[in-house]
Amino acid sequence: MITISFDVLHDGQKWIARNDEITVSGETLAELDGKIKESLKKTLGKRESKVSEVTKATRVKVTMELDYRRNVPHWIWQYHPYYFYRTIYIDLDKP
Amino acid sequence: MAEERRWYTGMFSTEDWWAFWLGTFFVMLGIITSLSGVDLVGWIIKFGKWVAIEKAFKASHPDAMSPIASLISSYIILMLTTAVGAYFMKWDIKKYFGAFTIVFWLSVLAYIIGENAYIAATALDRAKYGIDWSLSLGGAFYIMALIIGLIIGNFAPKGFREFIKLGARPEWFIKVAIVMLGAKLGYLAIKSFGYAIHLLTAGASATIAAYLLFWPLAFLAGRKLFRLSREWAACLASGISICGVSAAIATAGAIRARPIVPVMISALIVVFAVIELIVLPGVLAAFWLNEPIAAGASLGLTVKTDGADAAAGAILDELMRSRAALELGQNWEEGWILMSAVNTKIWIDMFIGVWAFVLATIWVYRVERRPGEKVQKMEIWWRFPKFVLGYFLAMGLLLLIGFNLYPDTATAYKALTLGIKPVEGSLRKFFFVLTFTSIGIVTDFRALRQEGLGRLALAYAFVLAVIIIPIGWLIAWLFHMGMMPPTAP
Repeated sequence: MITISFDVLHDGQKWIARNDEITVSGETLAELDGKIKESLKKTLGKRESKVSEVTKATRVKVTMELDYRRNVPHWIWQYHPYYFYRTIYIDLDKP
Repeated sequence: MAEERRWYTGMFSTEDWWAFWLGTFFVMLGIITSLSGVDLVGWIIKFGKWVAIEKAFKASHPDAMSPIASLISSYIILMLTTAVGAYFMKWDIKKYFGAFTIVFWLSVLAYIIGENAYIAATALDRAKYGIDWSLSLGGAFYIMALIIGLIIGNFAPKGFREFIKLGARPEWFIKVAIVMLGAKLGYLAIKSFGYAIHLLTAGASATIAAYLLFWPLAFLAGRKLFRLSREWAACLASGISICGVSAAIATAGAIRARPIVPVMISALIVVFAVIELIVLPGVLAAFWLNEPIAAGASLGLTVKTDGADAAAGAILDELMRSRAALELGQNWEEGWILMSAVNTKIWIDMFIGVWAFVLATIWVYRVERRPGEKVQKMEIWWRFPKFVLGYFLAMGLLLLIGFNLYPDTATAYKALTLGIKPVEGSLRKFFFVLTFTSIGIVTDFRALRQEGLGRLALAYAFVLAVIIIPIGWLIAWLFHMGMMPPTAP
C-alpha cells in the first residue's frame, strides 16, 4: 500500500486538497474524497508502467492535514497545535 | 508541502511544545542553582510594594546585581529565550523583537504602578510602609496590565494592534508560567504532600463530573433553544464547557467542521473569558471567603481559556488572602487558591484529546459515515497539551529531589528555596503579568458587533450564566468543601 499526502484548505465555499501533482476541490469532504479517488486513478494509471510498487497497489492510504497557517488566524495558533489530520483508505479497483 | 504526521510532529514548531521547553528550562535553572549553589537565577527581576520608587524592584538575589541591571538582564534573557521559540516557530523575528519589547515594558510599567503601596498595601501593611491610608487592592498590578492591554487592543490604530499582537501571546506566556507553577506545587508539596495530593485528586474528580454535565447540556441548549446546526452547536458546546478556544478548534477539527466555525466562536470565547476574569474574582472573594479552595477550583471549571483562568485565579488568590488577613486574622500561604484554579483547568485541558477522539469517532462512523475514513488513536496524543507534561515533570522533579536528597523535609524546603523561589515566584508572576497585558491586547470587544455573531453571542451568554457557572460552582464546592489553604508562618 502506498501513502499519498495532501494539504487541505477551505476557501469559504469548498474544500481544496492539493500536493505537488494533484489539486482537487469539493463542497463537502465526501465530494472531495470522491474527486481524490478519481484523480488518483488517472494519475497512478499514467505511472503504472514506470513504478512497480504502484502497479501492484490497489489500496492507497491518503492523509490530509488542514493548512492551519492559511486557514486559521495567527492569534489562534497558540491555543491548539493543529486543526485536523484525516486518513482515508481508497480501493482503486472498486468503483 | 504535505507530509505524514508523526508522534513528534510540532515538537519544535508549536507554542504548546515551546511552553514545555521554556518552562522546563527555567525550572531546571532553579534546580541546578539549588543543588550546586551556582546562582543561575539571581538575575530574575522581583517587584514589590513601594512608596519610594527605588524600592519598586530589585534582583531576586540582591547580592547578584543592582535593580536596574536585574531589570535589563530580565528583559534581555526573556527576549532571547522566547525569541528562540519564535525563530523555530518561523515567526517574523524582527517584528517579534519589537512587539515583545513593547509588551515587556508595558508590563513592567503596570507592575510598578500596581504595586504602589497606596494602591496595593493592606490595612495590616500600612505601618510597614509608613502610610495611613491605602486602597488595599491586592493584585492591582494584574488589573493595571489588563487595562493597559485593553486600551491598546480596543483603541490603538489597527496597524499598531496587528503589529503588537505578534509579541502578545497570552496562551504561550501562561503555559510557560503554568510549568513553573508545577515547580511551585512540588516545592510546597514537600512540606504539605497530603494536601497537594488531595487538591490534585479533588480537581480531577470535579473535572470529570463537570465534563459529563456541561457538554451535553450546552449542546442541547444550542440545538433546541438557539436552533444552531450540529456543526455550530458542537463547537460552541466544547468551547464553553471544556477549554475554550483550544476545545473549539479541537472539536471543529474532530467533526471536520469548516474552519470559519471555530474561528468565530473563538472570538466570542476570548471576549467572554475577559468579562469573567474581571467579574468573577471579585464576586467570589466577596461571597465565598469560607471556601477559598472551592472558589479557586470553580474558576478552572468556568473561565474558558488557560490565560484568563490563571489570571482570575491569581487575582482571587490576592483578594482572598488580603481579606483573610484582615478579617480572619489568618495568613494563608500564597498560591494555593491559584493552584486550585489552575489544577481543575489542567485536568480539563488533558481530556481534550480524548474528547476530540470520541467526537471524531462518532462523527466519522455514525453522523456523517464517510466510507474509507479512519480515526487514528494518535489524535489523543496530538491534541494532548504538552505544557502539562512540563507541569507534572517540574512537580515530580521537585518531589523526587526533596524527598531523596535531604535528611528531612524542612531541610529540603530550605535548600530548594535558593533556586526555586525566584522561578516559581518572581519569574512566574512576571509571566502572569505578561499574560494579563497580552490578554488585553488580543481582546477586541468589537468582535461582538461582527455580523452573524448575535445569536451565537446570546447562546454563549445564556449557557455560561445558566448552565456553566452555577453547575461549576456546585461541583467545585462538592469536591473541595472545607479545604482551606495552609497558613504561612
